[in-house]
Amino acid sequence: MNEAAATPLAIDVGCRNHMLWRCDVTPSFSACAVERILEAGAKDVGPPGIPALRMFEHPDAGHRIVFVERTARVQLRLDALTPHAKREAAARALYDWLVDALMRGAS
Amino acid sequence: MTTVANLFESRSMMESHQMDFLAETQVVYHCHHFNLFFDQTIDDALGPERGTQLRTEAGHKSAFHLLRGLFRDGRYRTPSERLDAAQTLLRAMGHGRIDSMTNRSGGNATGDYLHYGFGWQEKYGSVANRSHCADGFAAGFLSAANELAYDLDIGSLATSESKCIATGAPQCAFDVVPSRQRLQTSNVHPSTAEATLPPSFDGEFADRIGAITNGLRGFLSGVQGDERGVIDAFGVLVTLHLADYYNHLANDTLRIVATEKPHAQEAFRALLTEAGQVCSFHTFGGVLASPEWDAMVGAPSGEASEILVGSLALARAFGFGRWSLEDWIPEKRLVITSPGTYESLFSRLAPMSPHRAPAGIFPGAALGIMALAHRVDWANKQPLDQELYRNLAMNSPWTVEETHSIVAGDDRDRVVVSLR
Repeated sequence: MNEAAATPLAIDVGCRNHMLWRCDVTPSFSACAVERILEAGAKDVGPPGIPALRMFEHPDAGHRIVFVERTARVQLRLDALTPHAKREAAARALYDWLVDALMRGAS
Repeated sequence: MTTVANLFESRSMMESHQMDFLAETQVVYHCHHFNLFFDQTIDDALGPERGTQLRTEAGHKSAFHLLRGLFRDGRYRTPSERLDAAQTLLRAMGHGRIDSMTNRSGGNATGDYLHYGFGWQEKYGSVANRSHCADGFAAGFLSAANELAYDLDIGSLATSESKCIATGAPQCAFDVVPSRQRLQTSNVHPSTAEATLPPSFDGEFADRIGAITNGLRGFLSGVQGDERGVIDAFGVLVTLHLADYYNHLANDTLRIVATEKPHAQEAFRALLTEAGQVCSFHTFGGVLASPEWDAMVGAPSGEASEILVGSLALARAFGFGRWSLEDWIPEKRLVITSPGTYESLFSRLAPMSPHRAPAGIFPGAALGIMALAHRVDWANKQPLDQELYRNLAMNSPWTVEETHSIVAGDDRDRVVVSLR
C-alpha cells in the first residue's frame, strides 16, 4: 500500500466559515510537491514577496492551494464566492485532487 | 488605458510614523469583520436610515478627497477616463466592482462583490436577514467619482443604493441624482501629517518588530483586488480603505449622539473600542494563523511575546501608526504607545469640537492583542471563530485606559491594559 501523500483534511484556523482547510504533505512527497501540482495543471499564482510560499490556482474551480515549502503545510483556500452550503464538498474535492496530483508518478 | 500600477504610483508612506497615503489621502488595511462591526455601530446609534445616510456621506467626503488627488496630475481628463480610473481603483482596493451608466445629471449604476454587502452575506447571510442596504461607502464613492468626472462641486450629486445583495438581491443597484448637499470635509494630507505629528520613537523588541513590518510591507505592496475587486491575502477578506471614512463617520455620529441622545455617548464610545477588539482578534489573529505568516515569520508557537511583536508589526504594516511596546507583564499589564494613529491624527487636525470621537482602534486592539497573546491556544491551532471571540470578550479579565493622546496635546498616544 502506498504511503499517504498528505495528512487528513481538517478545518484550518481562520475567521471565515469553512473557507480555509488544512493538510500537510508527508515528508517523502514534500520535495516533489510543487512539480506535481504544476504537472496536474494548476496555475502558479505567486505570491511575490514571500519566497518560501507557493500559491497555485486549481485549473477549473479557481480555488487556491497555498504551500509553505519550509514546513510542507498546505492551506486549501476556497474561492471567495463559494457558497456556504458547498464549501465542505468543494474542499474535499480539492483535497482529493491534490492527493491525486501528489501520488501521480509515485510507485 | 488605466492600470492598477498607474493608479498605485500615487502611493506614499510616512515611514517614521508608519502611515500610508494614496493620492495624498490616508489609507489603512481593514478586514470585513471590523468594517461590518464599525458600520453596524453607526446604525445601532442612529438607526438604519440615518446610519445609511451618514455612511454614504462619509464615503462621499473621503472618496472625493482621494479621487481629486488622483486626477490632479491631469492624466485622466475625460469623464470616461476618470470613471474608468475610479472603478479600477475601487476594485484594486478590494471593494468590489461598480459599473456606472451616468452623465453629469446622474443616472444608474450596478455593483458586484461590493465589500460591505458581500462581506455581510459572507458573515451573517446564513444566519440572519437584513432589510436595509449595506453599501453606503460604495454609494458615496459613486457620487464623488461622478462629480469629479464631470468637474462638479462636492455635493452636486447624491447616490442611494436601491438594491443590495445583503438584502437578498442578486446584484447591487444605485441611483445617482442631482443634489445640493452641503458636505463639510476635513481630510488628512501628508504634509499636514508631517507638520502635526510629534517626533517618532521606538520601544521594546524594536528590531524584531521593524524587521517583520518591513517583510509585511514588501508583501502588501503587491497585494491588490482581482478582476472582481476581491483581495485574497492571508485568507482574510481585506480592503485597502480610506482612514477618513472611519474618522468622518465616528465624528459625525458622535456629534449627533451627543446632541440628541447624550445618555448614549458612553455606549457609542464603548462600541468603537469593541470594533478595535474585533479588528485585532479577527484580522491580526487571522493573519498570524495564515500560511503567509508561517512562511514569512514562522507559525506562532504559543509564546505570548511572539503574538505581541507580530501584532504590533501588523498594526504598523496596515498603516495604523508606529505602535510600540512600552511595557508588558505577562497576563497582567500591556502598555502600547504611538506618536499618533490614523484616528488621533484626524482628531488633532479636525476643527475644534467638543464632540471629537475618542480613539477606538487603539485601545480596542490593545485589549484584543492581550487576549490573542494569553488566551488563544496557538500550539493546538485553536479556531479563531465567533464563539471564541464572544467568550474572550465577555470574560476578559482586563480593562483598558487611554492615558495619553496627541489630541490632548501629549507627545504620544498611550494605552494601558491592566487587570480589572
